[in-house]
Amino acid sequence: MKILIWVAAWVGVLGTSLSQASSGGPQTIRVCPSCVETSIRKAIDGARAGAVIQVSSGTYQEEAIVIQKSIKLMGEDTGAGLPVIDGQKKVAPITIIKTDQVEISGFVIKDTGSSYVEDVAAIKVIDSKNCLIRHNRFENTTFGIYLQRAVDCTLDDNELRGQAKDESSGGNGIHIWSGSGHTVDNNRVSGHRDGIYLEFVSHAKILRNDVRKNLRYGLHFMQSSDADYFSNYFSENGSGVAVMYSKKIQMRDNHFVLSSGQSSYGLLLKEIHDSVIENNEFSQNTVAIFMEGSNRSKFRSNRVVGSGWALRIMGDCEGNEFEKNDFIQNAFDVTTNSSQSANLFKGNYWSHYSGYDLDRNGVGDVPYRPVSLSSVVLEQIDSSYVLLNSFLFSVLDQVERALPSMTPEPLKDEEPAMAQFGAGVRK
Amino acid sequence: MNQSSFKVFKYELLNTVRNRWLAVCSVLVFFVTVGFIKVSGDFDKALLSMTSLSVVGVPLVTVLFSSLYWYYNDRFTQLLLTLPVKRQTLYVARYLSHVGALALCWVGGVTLGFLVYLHFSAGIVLLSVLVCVLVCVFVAITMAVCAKVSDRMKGMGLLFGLWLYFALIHDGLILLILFALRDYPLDSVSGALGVLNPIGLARVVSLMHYESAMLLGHAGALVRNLLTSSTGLVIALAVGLVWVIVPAVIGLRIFQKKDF
Repeated sequence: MKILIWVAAWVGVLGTSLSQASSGGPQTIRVCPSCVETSIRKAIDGARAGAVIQVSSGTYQEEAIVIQKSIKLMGEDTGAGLPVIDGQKKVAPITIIKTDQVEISGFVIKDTGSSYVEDVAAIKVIDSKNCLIRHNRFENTTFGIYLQRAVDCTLDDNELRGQAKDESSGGNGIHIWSGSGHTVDNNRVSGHRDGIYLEFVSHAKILRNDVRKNLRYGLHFMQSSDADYFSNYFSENGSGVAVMYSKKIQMRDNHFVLSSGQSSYGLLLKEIHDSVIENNEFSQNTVAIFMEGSNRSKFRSNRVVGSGWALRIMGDCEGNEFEKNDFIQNAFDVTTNSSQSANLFKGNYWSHYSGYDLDRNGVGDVPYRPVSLSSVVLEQIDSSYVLLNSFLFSVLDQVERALPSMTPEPLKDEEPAMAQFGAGVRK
Repeated sequence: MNQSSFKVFKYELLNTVRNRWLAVCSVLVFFVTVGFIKVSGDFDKALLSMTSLSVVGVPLVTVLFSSLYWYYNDRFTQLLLTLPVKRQTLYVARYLSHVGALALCWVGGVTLGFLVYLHFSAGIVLLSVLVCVLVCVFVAITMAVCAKVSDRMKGMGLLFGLWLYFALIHDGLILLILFALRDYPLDSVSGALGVLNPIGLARVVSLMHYESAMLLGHAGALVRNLLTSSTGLVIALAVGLVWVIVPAVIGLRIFQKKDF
């Protein structure tokens, strides 16, 4: 009997302590069209720091939601799809100001307002740290996610579909201005002005994003050093990808596809220094890689195929190294506007190479000159494109290859590979 | 068509088709096509090579075959014309049978080469159309020259020179002009100069359908739109038609008035 009482007493103590623990945990507020709380904004007003606000399926036409405390805003599909926050083409739906550790996940945010004066975004994060924005869908937003002086944020698995009409009124899908340490992972961006835009951002990681059909650039970054770009897919963006004024960039396993047009580049590098561009795939671009004022970068194991120009490297680029790349069926391999070249081309595969390999060591015995005379002519006279593929140009090219006079003498690959490396994105 | 014209047609057609050199040429084209496919291992690339070759090769073969045929049958033509046969009938019959036989020979060789690998694509149709247009143009030019120039050495020399001009020299002149006037916007001028040459016309049309279409990104927007739109194709066809009709009509006139 004594033992029984003793056990009962202990169970009682344990029970109370457990219930105490649960009431001291994070406050949870549920929002749904038929709940006590029907407004996300009011729920946030009544929430303590650390609260979790669970939002059920339904459409929420709210005024601008401003988050100034660390909360988790979680959308839940309770049968009728993810909860929709509708900006009614008037408001900027969510703004996070000077607040760390905010999480927003599982929402559809649509129809933001638009303005020529300020940047209206579906989610704007200002002066905050460690925000987490994931599993959301953005439809017809001017700017999608906008980080301003934020630090260490993670944008994961979002889908951003804009309907930008022209460059001046459209916004960017993911726009990061000033900050550091962000991770942008596995997002899908289309129909914006720039897909992903970074300016004054350091140590960013841009991974596995799928960026296509944006009006201007798929990826546009400036003054953003020490960034990693891995396994992204850029396709059919108006002007391709442009990266400028940065150092120590790593670009690996990306696809740059289908940038075609007069000023369209698979990858445009302007004043990019000390960077590594490796295992990327460039296909069907008017100009696959364009380089201006870029120094000391390494290009290894990339596959460049089916371009008008595989590489346009301006005379102000120095000390870049091109090794073990596959250049396959590009109308022109390399063009330059200079008669000199201070860049190294070594051991690449060129499908236009017609040399021989008598000692059978896999390396061609005569150097390959990737700059053809016709490309030099075309560089100088735009309108000579009517002569492309002509008998005249092929005769001139052969003569020039044998006896270079107009093409830059030092620009040559001394050890052209006889077989493709199978370079490109690692499977 | 009356009895005698029909006979003339039939004779010309049979005489052309029976020609051994056409068969040889067809077989050669077939093997070259197969060779390109084997070496490149890529149908599109082989087709591109074949198109580049055809644009220059078809005019050469056409010029050689048609002029050889004309001069070889010169005496017989004169004999035929002593009979009540209209000169126009003979000329048109010869023109049509040459065009038909040469186009069939080249297009057949290429198509068979691809069909051996069970491959068929829109590019082959385009190539066939280009070949037909080139054959039409160059048979017309050749027959006009042959009708005018009775001396076969002179005639063939002139024709070979014409081929060289269209294949190479014309482009060289364009290049010189473009270099000389490089400070001016010359997009439309170079386009116009380009189509003044049937070979150039065929090349530019083929250009926009292959890998080099990427290059057109560089050309002015106006020219690019023109080339890639159907309007461009219609204009190209119209220019091609002018290139067929003008030499054919001139040639016929010369032949009708010729004093043997």
